[in-house]
Amino acid sequence: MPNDATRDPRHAEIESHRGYLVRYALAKLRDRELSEEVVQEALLAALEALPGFRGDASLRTWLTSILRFKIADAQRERVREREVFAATSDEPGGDLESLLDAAFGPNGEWREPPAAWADPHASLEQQRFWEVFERCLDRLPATGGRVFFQREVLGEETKRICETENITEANCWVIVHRARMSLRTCLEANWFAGETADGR
Amino acid sequence: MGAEREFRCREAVRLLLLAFERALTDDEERDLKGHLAACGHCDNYDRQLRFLSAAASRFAR
Repeated sequence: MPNDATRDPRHAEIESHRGYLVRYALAKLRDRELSEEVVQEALLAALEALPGFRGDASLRTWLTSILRFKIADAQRERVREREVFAATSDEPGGDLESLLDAAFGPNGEWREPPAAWADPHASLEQQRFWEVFERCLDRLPATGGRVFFQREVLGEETKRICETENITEANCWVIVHRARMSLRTCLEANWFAGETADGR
Repeated sequence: MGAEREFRCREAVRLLLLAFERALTDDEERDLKGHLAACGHCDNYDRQLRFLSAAASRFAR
């Protein structure tokens, strides 16, 4: 009964980071179900430890550091179970030329000339923008989404990411370029289209 | 001329993407800068790719 009074208002805020944390776990574990379990464990641990969190780091950074321990546990567990998961690339990388073919017509003209986006940096302050951003990340092909997340969100080295994904570095780059281009198209269609500058 | 400009857009985007992989050579850098200064579409594209990187790294915080 007295617990209600001591309920920390940050509980709801913690919950709001779940989507990000699952994506983080997925990048490392490549297993949706396991990732959701691990995040659940991390969030429970975070709730317990919350009174000791002083806010030196952002909440997301703090939650991620807890999650990292849970992911390491899960990885050790998986090795113990000798669950060898063959890393297979689920999409062909193609090459840079095929990516450019998709953007440019036979005469080398832009198929859809990029229009200016109105004040994109102001979008970063809007909650709705981040919802669209996450939905666009979800729409990327699985490997593309993981590689892009590790490369651009977590800032990891491409060489290492490719090794983990068991794909060649050249292929890896094409995958991340494709992801970048798809994400751009998705944001343009679902966020910036309404506010595109008229390009005068 | 139109055809030349169009060819350069494709080339410019190739360089924009390659710049994520490695440092561009001085020649590549010069060609790219020159094209971006003259081509609004490619300049928009360049800004948008940079914005995506900024948004992605901000997403982790």
